[in-house]
Amino acid sequence: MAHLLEIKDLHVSVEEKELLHGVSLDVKAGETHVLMGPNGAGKSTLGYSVMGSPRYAVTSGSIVFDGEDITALSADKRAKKGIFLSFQAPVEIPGITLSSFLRSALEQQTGQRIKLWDFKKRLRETMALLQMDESYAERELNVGFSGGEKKKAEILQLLMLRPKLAILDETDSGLDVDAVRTVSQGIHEFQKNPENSLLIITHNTRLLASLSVDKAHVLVGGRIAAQGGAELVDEINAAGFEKYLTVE
Amino acid sequence: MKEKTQVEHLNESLYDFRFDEDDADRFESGITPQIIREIAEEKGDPDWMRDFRLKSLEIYNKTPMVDWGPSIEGLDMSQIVTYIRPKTRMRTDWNEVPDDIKSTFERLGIPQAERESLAGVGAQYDSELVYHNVRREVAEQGVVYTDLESAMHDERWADIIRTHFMKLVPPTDHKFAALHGAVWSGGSFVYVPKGVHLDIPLQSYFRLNAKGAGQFEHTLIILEEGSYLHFIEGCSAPKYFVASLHAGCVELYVGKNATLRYSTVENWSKNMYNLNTKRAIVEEGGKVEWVSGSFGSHVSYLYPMSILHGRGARAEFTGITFAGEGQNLDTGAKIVHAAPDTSSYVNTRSISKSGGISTFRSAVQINENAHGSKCSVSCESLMLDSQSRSDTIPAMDIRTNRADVGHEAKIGRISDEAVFYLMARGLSEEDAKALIVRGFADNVSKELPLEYAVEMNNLIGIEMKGSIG
Amino acid sequence: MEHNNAIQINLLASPTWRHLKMNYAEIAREEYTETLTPSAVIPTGMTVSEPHGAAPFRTGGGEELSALLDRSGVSETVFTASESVNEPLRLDYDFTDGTNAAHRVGIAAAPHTAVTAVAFYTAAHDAQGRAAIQTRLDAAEGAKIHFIQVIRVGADFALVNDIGTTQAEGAQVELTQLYLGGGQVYGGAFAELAGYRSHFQNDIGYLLKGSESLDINIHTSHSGQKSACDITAKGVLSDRSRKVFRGTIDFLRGAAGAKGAENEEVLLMSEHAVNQTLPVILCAEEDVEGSHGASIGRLDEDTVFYLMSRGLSRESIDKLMARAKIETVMRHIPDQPTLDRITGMIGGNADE
Repeated sequence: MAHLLEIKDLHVSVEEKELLHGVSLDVKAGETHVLMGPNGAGKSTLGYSVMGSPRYAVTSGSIVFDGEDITALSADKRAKKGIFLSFQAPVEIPGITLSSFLRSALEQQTGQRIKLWDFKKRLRETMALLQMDESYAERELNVGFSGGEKKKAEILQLLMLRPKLAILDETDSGLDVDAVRTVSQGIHEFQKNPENSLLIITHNTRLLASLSVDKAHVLVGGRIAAQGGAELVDEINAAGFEKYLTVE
Repeated sequence: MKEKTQVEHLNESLYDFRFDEDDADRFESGITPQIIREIAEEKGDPDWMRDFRLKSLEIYNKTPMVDWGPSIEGLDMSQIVTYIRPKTRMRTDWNEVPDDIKSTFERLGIPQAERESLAGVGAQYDSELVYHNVRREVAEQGVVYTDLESAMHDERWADIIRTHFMKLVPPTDHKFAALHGAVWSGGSFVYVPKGVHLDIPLQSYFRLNAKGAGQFEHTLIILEEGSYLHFIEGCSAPKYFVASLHAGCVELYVGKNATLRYSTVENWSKNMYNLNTKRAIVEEGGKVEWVSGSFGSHVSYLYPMSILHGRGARAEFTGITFAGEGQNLDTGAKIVHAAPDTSSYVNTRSISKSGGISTFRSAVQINENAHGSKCSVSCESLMLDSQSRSDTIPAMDIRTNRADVGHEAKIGRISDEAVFYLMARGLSEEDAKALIVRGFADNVSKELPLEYAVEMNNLIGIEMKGSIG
Repeated sequence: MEHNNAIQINLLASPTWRHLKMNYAEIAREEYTETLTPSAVIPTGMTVSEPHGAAPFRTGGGEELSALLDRSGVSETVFTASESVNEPLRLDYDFTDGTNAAHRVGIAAAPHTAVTAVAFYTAAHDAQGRAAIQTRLDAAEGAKIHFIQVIRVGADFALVNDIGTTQAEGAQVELTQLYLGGGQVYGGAFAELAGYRSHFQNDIGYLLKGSESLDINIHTSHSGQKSACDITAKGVLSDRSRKVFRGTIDFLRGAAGAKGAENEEVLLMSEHAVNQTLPVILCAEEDVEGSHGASIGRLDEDTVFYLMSRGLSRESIDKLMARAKIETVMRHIPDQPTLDRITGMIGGNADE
C-alpha cells in the first residue's frame, strides 16, 4: 500500500524550545498505528504539528501527506486533504450548534451546499451508530459538555467529516465506560473503510485491547525510542516505559 | 459606637502629630507672579526654572477646575499657603537635625528603618528636604539620590533635569499640575545608571506640618537600561482645621529592560485634599510596578499612569483604597499601550466604611499600533455598611484587534458565613471582620516590604475599630 | 465639547475623564418634523390609545433627548395589555420615506399579565435621514414584558432608539436587541427597578461594518429590594466601525438583596475597528452583589486552530463566529417568524 503520512526527521519548537528532535514516522493507507510514551514525551506535539498548529514551529524536516509536502499548509487545507485530529480539550463555541457547525465544515470541505434533509439524515444515522442522543446535535458546540460528551462529539465529527487519517489524541484518557464504548465504536466504524488510517496517541493502552494494531512507536524525550508491531503494546502494558527512560 | 472613639483616638495618635511652626517662614496666602518670583529667588532657581514657574502660573489661572469626580469645593485656594520652608538646611548627619523634627521622624520610625534596611532617606518636612543621607555603597554604584533643588544646581545633573522635569506631566495636563509647576518645592531626584541593580529599597517620607500649608514635592526618577530600583514613598500628616492641599508630582522614566517598583502607603490627615499626579514612561522591555495603598486624606484624586512606550514594555498596578468616615477617595490607574507586545495588569481592592466613598476609576487605552498587547483589569469592592458608597468606573478604549483585553469587577459585602465561622473559632465579631478585611487587602500587603505590610495592617486595624454597629 | 447645534444624549451617570470622549454622544439639536407611526399587528387582549402629552419618564437617552422630542411635538401610541396575550404585538417601522421622523410608543402590561412585543426598525440601504423612537415599557405588579427589537438601517441613516422601563413589584422586563447595521445608531435604556423582586434582563447583539457606529447606554436603577438585572452585550466590529458601550448598574441605598451583572464580549475583526467600553457599578447599599466582566479582542488562537482543523478557512471562521454572536442573542427570541426574518437579514445558511 502507498504511504499516506510520511514524517521525515521532524524538529519542532514552541517558543524557541525544541520539543521534537528529529522524529520520523510512516503510516501507510489502511494501517493503524499507536504512538505511546510517558507524559511530556512530545506525543501531542507531534499530533498538533501534523495538523498544522501555528503554535508549533517546524524548524526542520517535513510532513508529506498523500504524496504532497504539507509542512507549510494551514490547518484548514490539511483538513480538506483528509487529516483529522481529535482534541484533548475541544474548544467551546457558544452560539453555534454542533449540527450547524458540522454542516458548515462539510460544505467547506466539499465546496458545495449540502441539502438540509440529506445532512440531517446522515447525522441522525451516525449519532444512532454511536448511541448518542439526538439532542446533542442542537446543543452549542462543546458548550457545557462534560469530558465524555466532548470526546463523543469529536468522534461524531470524525465519522461525519470522513478523513483519510485520524489522529486520536489521548482520546481514552479520563473517560467513563460509556464514552470509551462510543469511542471504540467510532474507531471500528472508521476502520470499516480499508483505506482509512489511524494514529492513536496514548499513554495508556486500555482502548487498544479491542483494536488490531499494525505498528507501535514509543516516543521518549522528543525522540522515537522504539518501533515495532503490536507486540510492543503488550510489552509496554507489562513493563511500562522504564526501559526506555533509562536509555535517555 | 461612641465609647469606641477613645480607642480610635489613641491608636490614630500613632500617625497623627503636630508641632509648633515658630521657626518657619511663610508666604501670604494666594498665588501671584510676585510670590512665584520670590520662591524662585529664595531657591536660587536657574532662569529657565523661574520662567517655567511663571508660565505654569499662567496656565493655572487659565485652566478650569475638574468637573468630574469628588467635590473639591471645600478647598479654598486663596487660603492655601503654598510655601513653607523650615529654617533648617540640608543635613548629612542625623545629629544636626533639630530635635522637634527629629522626634517626629523618630515617632515615624525613620531612623530605625534606616538602620535596618534603608539605602538612603530623603525625608521632607514641610516643603524643604531637611534630612538626606545616601549610604556609601549606593553612591559607589553610581546611584544618585538627592533632592531636586541640589541636583538642579549640580552641573552633572542640570541638563538631565531640564530635559525631564515636567516633560511627562506637563503643566497643561490639569489645573493642579499647573499649580505644581508654579510652586513645586522639595522632593527627590534618583538616577540609576545602566545595569545597576539596587537590592535595597530607597525610601522617602513626606510630611505636612503647617496650618493651611500645601505641599508640592516633585519626584523625578530615571532608570537607565537594564537597571532595577524599588522606591518607597510614605506619607502621614497631622490634623488641622483649615483645608490642606497636596499636589505633588511623580515622574518616572524607566529605560530599556529596566524595572522600577514604586510603592506608596499613604495616610494623609483626614482634612487633606490629595491631588497628586504620578506618571511613568516605560521603554522597550522595561517594567513599572506600582504598589499603592490609600488610607488617608479627605478627598483624593490619584491615578498613577503608565505609558508603555517601547516594544514589550509592561506595567503592573496593585492597589488598595480604604475610605472611612468623611473620606471621598477617587483612585485607580491609567494605562496607555503605545507600542507592540506591551502588557498591563491592574488589580485593585477598595473598601468603604462609616459613610466613606471610594471610587475605582481607570482608563485603558490600546493604540492602533499596539499589536499583540494584553491587558487585564480586575477590581473588587467591599461595602462594610449601607452608609458608605463604592463606585467602579473603568473605561476601555481599544483601537486594534490584535490585542487581548479582559476586565472583571465585583462588588459585595463580607459574607455572614465567614464571620460566623471565625466567631465559632473564638474571634470577636470585630476581630473577625478586621481579619477578613486584611485578607481582602492582601493583594497589596503581600507586595510590600514586611515593615510596611505591618504598618498597613495596623492602619486597617485602626480603621476597623468601632465597625460593629 | 458642547455645540449650540448639538445635544448630549446617552450620558454616563457618573462622568469620567473628558479627554476619553466617552461620557456622552451628540446628535443634532434640530427638531424632528414628522411623526412616523409603525404598522402594527395587535393581538387580541391589547388595546391602543393615544394619550395627549406623554407622561414624563426617564430613559437611557436622557433629558435633552426627551426635551427635543417634546419640542418636536412627537405623538405617542400606547399599547396596553389588560390580559395575557398569546401572540406578540408586532410593530414595523420603515424609515425609507421618513427623512426626519420620530415617534413615541408605550407598551403597558396590567398586573400579572404577560406580553411579548416585536419591533423591526428598517430602512432601505440607501435611505438617508434621521429618526428617533422612544419606547416606554410599563410593567405593573407581577407583569412580564418581553420586548424584542431588530434594527437595520442604511449607512447614511441616524437612528435613536431610546427606552425607559418602570417596573413594579415582581415585574419582569426582558429586552432583546439586535443591531444589524446603521450609519449612526444610538441605543439608550433606563430601567427603573423600584419594585420588590423586579427584574430587568437585556440581551444585546450587534454586527457593525464599514464606518457604522453604535452608541449604547444602559442604566439600571435599583431601588427595589431584591431587584435584579442581567445585561449581556455581544457583538462583532469589522472594517472601520466603532462602538461605545456604557453600562451602569446603580444600587441605591435601601436596595437590600439586589443583584446586578453585566457582561460584554466584543470580537474585533479588523485592525481599524474602535471599541470603547465603560461598565460602571455605583453602589450605596451594603447588601448587594454586583459584577461586570468584559472580554475584548480577536478570536483566540485555540479556537481558530480547532475550527481550521475541521476544514474551515480563516475567512469562513470569521463569518461563523460573527453569526455565533448573533445566534446566542437569537436564542432569547421565542417567535419563529421573527427568527426567520432575522436569518434573512444576516444571510443565514443553516436552516432554510
